[in-house]
Amino acid sequence: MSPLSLAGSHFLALALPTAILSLLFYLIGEKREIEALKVSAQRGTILTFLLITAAVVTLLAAFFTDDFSLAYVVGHSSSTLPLFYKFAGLWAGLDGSILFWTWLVALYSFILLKTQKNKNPDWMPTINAVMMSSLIFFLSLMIFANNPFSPLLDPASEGKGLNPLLQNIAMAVHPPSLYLGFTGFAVPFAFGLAALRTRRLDSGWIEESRTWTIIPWFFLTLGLILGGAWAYVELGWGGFWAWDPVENAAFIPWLLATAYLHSVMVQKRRGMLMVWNVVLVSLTFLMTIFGTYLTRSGVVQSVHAFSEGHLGPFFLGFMALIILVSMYFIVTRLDSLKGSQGLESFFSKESAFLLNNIILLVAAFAVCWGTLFPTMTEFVTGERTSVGPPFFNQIMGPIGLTLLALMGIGPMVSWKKAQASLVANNLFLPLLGGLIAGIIGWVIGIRQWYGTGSVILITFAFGTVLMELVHGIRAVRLQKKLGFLDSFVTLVVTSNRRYGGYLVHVGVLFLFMGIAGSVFKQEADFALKPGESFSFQNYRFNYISPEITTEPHKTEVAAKVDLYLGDKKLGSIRPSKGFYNASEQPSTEAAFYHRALVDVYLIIANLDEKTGRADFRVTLNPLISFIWFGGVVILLGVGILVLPASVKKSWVKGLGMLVFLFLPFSPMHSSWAANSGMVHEETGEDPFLYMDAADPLTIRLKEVADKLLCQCGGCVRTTLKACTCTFAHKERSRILAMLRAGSSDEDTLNAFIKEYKLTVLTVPPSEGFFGMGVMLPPIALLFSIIGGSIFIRRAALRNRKSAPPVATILSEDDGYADKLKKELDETP
Amino acid sequence: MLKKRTKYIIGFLIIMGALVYLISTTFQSSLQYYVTVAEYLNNTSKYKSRTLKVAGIAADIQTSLNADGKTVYNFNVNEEGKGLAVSYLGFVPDTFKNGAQVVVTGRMNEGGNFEATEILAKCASKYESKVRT
Repeated sequence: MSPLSLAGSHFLALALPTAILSLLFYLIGEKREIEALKVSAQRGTILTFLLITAAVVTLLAAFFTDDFSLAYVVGHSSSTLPLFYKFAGLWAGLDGSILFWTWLVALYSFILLKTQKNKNPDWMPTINAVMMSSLIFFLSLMIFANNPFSPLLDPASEGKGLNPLLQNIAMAVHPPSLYLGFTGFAVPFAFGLAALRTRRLDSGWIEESRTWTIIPWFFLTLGLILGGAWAYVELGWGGFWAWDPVENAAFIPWLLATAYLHSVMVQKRRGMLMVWNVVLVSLTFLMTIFGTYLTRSGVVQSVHAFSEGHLGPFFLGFMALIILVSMYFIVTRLDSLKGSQGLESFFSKESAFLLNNIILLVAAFAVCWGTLFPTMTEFVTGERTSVGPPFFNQIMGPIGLTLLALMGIGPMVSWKKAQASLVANNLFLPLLGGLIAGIIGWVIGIRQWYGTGSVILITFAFGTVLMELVHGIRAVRLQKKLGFLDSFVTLVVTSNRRYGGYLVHVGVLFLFMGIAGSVFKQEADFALKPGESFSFQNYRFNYISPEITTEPHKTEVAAKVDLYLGDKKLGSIRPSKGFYNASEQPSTEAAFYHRALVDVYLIIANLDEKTGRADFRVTLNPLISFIWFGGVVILLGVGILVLPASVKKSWVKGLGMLVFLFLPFSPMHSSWAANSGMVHEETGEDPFLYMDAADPLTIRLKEVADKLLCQCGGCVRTTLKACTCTFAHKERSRILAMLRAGSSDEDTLNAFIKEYKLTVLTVPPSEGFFGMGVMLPPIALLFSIIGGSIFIRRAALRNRKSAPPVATILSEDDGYADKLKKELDETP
Repeated sequence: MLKKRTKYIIGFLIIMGALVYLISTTFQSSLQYYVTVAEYLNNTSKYKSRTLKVAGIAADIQTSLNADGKTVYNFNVNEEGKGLAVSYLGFVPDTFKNGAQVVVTGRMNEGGNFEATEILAKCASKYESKVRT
């Protein structure tokens, strides 16, 4: 037995009793009021965290030292796997992902202990109990069922390698982000139970659980988007979301948490919906465990479910425990949960939030229903069925549109009782904008009800956010006599939650646009021989030539295709398929051509080596980049939202202004990636490993490659000589082929310049117009940074001058802007 | 005038009613049977001219070109000694090969041949993930 396997198993085995003792000691210490017992419980929590950390480090060590006596390492790594992906091997399989998951729970427990021990000592025993129960559950899973450290009786000499599909940067980042989200929902649940148990259901509880929901919500959102990006880039079917049970399992808690983040505001503001909120928090946590159960137990038919199926009873037991405990505390504390206030009017922010909650809950229910229905019918009738994406798409269409409408109306409706005339006044402009956009959309050909509805409502929701901003800025300007930009910064800084929230809305609107765009996705299959072409929409694909490259470890079959829009050549793209010797399956590499509003996505299959005939599938994905952009905006919004009061001023200003200044440059990314095939994928392999260093051709290749920059779009100004990504690999093969065919160094370079423009050169010619063209972006960037920092300094100085009144008057975030706006609206 | 509470309940019921209607109507149309090859072949009359999903093991994969020059896949989906002949025009996932667990979506045409419109494949031996086209 390998020492690492022994050590890892022992760390886990020790963590289980320390977690149990920590849980018990804290509760007993609280009951008997023995301070020393509480202290040792706290130490127990820290020790548990350290032990699980040690287990994670041990597994990583096993990966890095290629310890092929561990079944898990053999299954998910090999000695040639790049270091980065060895790290990702930690969460690539079932057993390792449970360990990583457990570690995240332990990390949250540790952070909670550190932050809440003195702040909320009365809640700590319950919080600790919830977190430790989670840990006990996951530790038991590992110890009794899925030990990532289980040794092989007969150690292997080499690992089986990581699935090539998982060797992608998004796939390496997406699971940790998703897991951080999933595990994090235990925290608001812990706060909820603690507040219920101690009957201290005050604003402190709302604050903590709100903050601790935003954090996992953020990670879950990021994880979902990254998962979509991975599917889009790597799976070769041109889509990003398939309503697979595993995806749904992550989406359901997201919907519930989103509902909670809205309804908690009602509780904060009006002291209503307390029972509802506790139920939502418990339900969210329950659904994360349920989602894990779905993915880890093989209950549902799924594209990427883990296959083992004996974990079921563990999960069902744990879920039953969660339901029983939360029900017990909610029912016994009903009297304390009863709010004193009721709805005053139908026409109020409260109602809007309530409606939003109902719709989000129905969405969660519908997704859950569609996911579970096949399993349920099989259980009842023995007949298996399948619920396809059309169901989810048709359901989520109207639900999404309703949410968009609410997103637009909500901010304009005031608390308690809104005045119809005032709301109508405020909504007039956004609504008008929406209708105009709808008409424009109709004219340019968006004539399907879902498309038109999206265009109108997205513009409308955008409009109301803009109106809010304008109103707010105007209020601050009048009040503080500041300039426009200063007012803007002051407003965002002082009402960071409100405007951070709006920014998240804007990000979600971009997401919606991307999703709405996917409805207009178009696809065509065609087969071509070299020299033939195919036209689709306004695009023409000229199949130039097949390119088959054989390397020691793989054969790559690619097609060089020139892409035309009308008569204008956009560039060459190069879809390919790799056949790895070590792997049983080929790997499709889609070629992209990114345009501002549409992605052209091309894959290839069945290339005939003799005739060069090949099958192609083109997918036109409109607006898909809006999804990724929306993700970035949400990230920023959450950043502003969670800023603590102490650092927020300088942060928001710096960050906000930088982003603002960088935004115009974002189209640049499309030119970076313009000439495709281009997903930067690191191989970590010496480019010239298999070449004869003394061969004059190799020497020339090195010289030429050193003068050219890798154009894959993923590496930052690396020469083709040095870059180890797969794209650079292909480019070097091309150079070599050209040199071998008798082309001079000069001609080869010129061919590349012709294809990629002058920016492909490592050292661009500095004189003349070309020099200007190359130098302009960095110069502009430099200017904007300098300009931005001058502006930020100025704003900061001015703010400092007016600091005292700002601090006192503007400290209450929502109230201030509301009040000012109301005043302004009411004065003619 | 109605009591406030009654008004809320009515409003709530209207919203829920609309949503339940929406769910139930779309649900009917997007429900598909999911059967194994043996189940399918034992009850072909029931599933005839219905689009459904059939699961089994892919075998005897052959390709040919159709009139447009596109690749057509002809293969068997096997289970417990029974086999269903399937033809498919389109792109297959990277994991599709002889011996892979597959789920084909499609229907029987008039000629008694099963025409698939989608193939999902899972590589049984080595990897934990399936891939879709």
